[in-house]
Amino acid sequence: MLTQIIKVFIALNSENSPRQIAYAMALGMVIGLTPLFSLHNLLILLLAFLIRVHLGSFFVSWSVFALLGLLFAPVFASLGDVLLTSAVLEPIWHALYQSTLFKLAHLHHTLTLGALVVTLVLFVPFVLLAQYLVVKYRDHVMAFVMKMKIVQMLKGSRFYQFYLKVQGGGA
Amino acid sequence: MKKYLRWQGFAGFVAVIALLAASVYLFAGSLIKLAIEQLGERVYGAEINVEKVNVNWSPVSVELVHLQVTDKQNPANNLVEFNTAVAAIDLWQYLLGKTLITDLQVAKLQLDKQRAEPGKVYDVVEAAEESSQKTSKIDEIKAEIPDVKTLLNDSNLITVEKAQALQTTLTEERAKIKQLKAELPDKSKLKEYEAKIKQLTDTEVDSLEDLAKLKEQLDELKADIKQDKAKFKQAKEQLSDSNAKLKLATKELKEAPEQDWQQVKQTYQLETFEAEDLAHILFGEEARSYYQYAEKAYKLLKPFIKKGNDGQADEVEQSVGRFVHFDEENPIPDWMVAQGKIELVNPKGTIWIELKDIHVQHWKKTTASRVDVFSNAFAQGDLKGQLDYWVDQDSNIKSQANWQFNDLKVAKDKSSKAKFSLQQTQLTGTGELSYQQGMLDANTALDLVKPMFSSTSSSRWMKQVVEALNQQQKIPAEILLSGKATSSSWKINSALDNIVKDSVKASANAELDKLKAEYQSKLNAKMADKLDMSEQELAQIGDLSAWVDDTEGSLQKLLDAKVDSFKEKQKDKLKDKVKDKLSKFF
Repeated sequence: MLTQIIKVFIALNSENSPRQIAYAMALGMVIGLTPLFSLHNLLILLLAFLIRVHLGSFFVSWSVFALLGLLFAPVFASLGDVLLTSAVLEPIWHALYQSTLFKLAHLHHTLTLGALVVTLVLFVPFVLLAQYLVVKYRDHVMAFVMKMKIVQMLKGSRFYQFYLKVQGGGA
Repeated sequence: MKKYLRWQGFAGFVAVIALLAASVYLFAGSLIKLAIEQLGERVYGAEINVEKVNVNWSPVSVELVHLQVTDKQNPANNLVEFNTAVAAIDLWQYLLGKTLITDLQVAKLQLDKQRAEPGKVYDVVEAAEESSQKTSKIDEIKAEIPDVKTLLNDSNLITVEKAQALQTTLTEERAKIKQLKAELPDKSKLKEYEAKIKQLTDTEVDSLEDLAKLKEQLDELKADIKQDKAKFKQAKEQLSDSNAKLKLATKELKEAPEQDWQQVKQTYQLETFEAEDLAHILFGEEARSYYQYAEKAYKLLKPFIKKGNDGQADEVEQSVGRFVHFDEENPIPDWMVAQGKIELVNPKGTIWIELKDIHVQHWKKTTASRVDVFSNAFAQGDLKGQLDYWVDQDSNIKSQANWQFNDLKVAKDKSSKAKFSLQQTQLTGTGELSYQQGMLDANTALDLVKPMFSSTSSSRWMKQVVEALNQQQKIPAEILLSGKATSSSWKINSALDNIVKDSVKASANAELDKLKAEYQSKLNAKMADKLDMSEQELAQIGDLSAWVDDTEGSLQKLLDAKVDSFKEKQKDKLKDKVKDKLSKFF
């Protein structure tokens, strides 16, 4: 986990595009907030590995949102329940239910549907917000953070030097 | 394209998937074990232990080894435990959100077995206390069934009260009659009246003065007779009154033992003796424990039955989500055990239970869920039964069942401490059950062949009952269960019931009759010796009444006759005088 945090730290301070970091975090949010063993998460994982997003940010985001997911699971389940038992939406669900893929994706599960709907709705705003925050960080906070003793200590640590050596470059 | 994609990342993806798959493969058993123990305990409310969970992947099956579920009401015992349970699962249906167990095999399922150490209970149920209270209440009722002597020592007995009332009535009426007898005119007075009338009749009336004098004397005599007649009338009324009072007191005494029996029955609830007590006598604590198990099983299964309804979800499920299923072309229930076999180990013998299409959504799969039960070595006899059930969308259960059993040996290893219990018999019978919308209707007809009852009571009465029962070759009985499933009422119709009741009643009646005779003989003796009053005396009172009637009648007749005769004589005398005077003119 420490490696992942260092990776995020390095990414934030590197030449990596803020968009790459923002998308990685958004994908991590989806996989973290929704039940892990779901078909859509297979796709998220595949996207995270294939698209050039920052993997370190993805894994950190996944871990953080997995904890938040446990906290919000009842809320997501309630939302899913409302959606799946809504009389208005019933014809849509009924039609989708006839498809094996819908059932295989567990979209008729209250928690899976509720969490997925929330994450999909939040995806674009989250990307924009994350991108904005990375840019703002680099503009205003990075120089201040770099001067902090703890960061200096971290940068001077053997572990950090070793990591840079393995990575083949510095921030 | 290369700007956006990194193809080497595919290897990373495969690696992560492989890692997840390996984790599932390695830790699935432990995760299932943890889920059963942790979630199971949270939902059920008492300690659940699983020794090991093995997951086989081809074909997919889960094996639970030594599962124990603590009995919440009796934590020293397990509600249920089994050695192994292997469930073969349809993986494809599982991935689609349904649990289809294609085959379930449970080995050595045992109920109410003692645990190595008491299990933890998180959700304390007060029913245990209630149950023990019920049991002790039964013992109490038995202990309270009194001996005849105890019954008869009761000073509130109507027989005693009525006997004393008869004695008081006798004393009072005797005194009244004695006084009355003394005041009544006797036969000599009657003769005196006759003599007086004769004298008046023979009196010569020569003048109007004589006639006036005679009339005056006659009026005096009439007044005397009238006065005595009033005394007779009064005596007659008194005798009639005494007679009625004595007859009533005697009648009441004769009826008193029956009234006492009714009171004893009511006080000691001998009429309601048959239902719960006879079930207890017949089957002992087992009947209650079987019923309690059925109740516990129902409570345990109730959430699953409710869960069958798509529109419902309980709070526990709400926190982790649930599958919502919709109509489909070939629907299958959300969960189902397609077939299974359970080996139920009981101290009386092993029972095999076969399952077919067990689920709780019969609007999706309409054929009945079936449970077959059979054993050819249960209590040295054999039994078989079949239960079909259906659950509708409103969670209403409809069920039909039937069963037969032959030569089941019922025997207690040690003598019962109960005052009255069945030591051994052989049971043969059949039964059926129907259940719909919470209402139960079941009956079992059975024969108790060569029953042997025992009693620890030293009561002669109880011994007589036991003797009467032990002489029976076969006692037929019918157990009826009806009403709400959660609070159904028991009814047992049996010859046993009648034999017990008849013995109790005959014995008590005999003792009460004896008491009545004893009191009557004592009363008769008292009447004869001291009061000089007995049944014979009662008859004499009747005779005296008749004599008063006769005397009164004869006196009236005599008076009328004499007065008429006197009048005729006076007329004749006057006629003669008139004739003599007229003859002087002609």
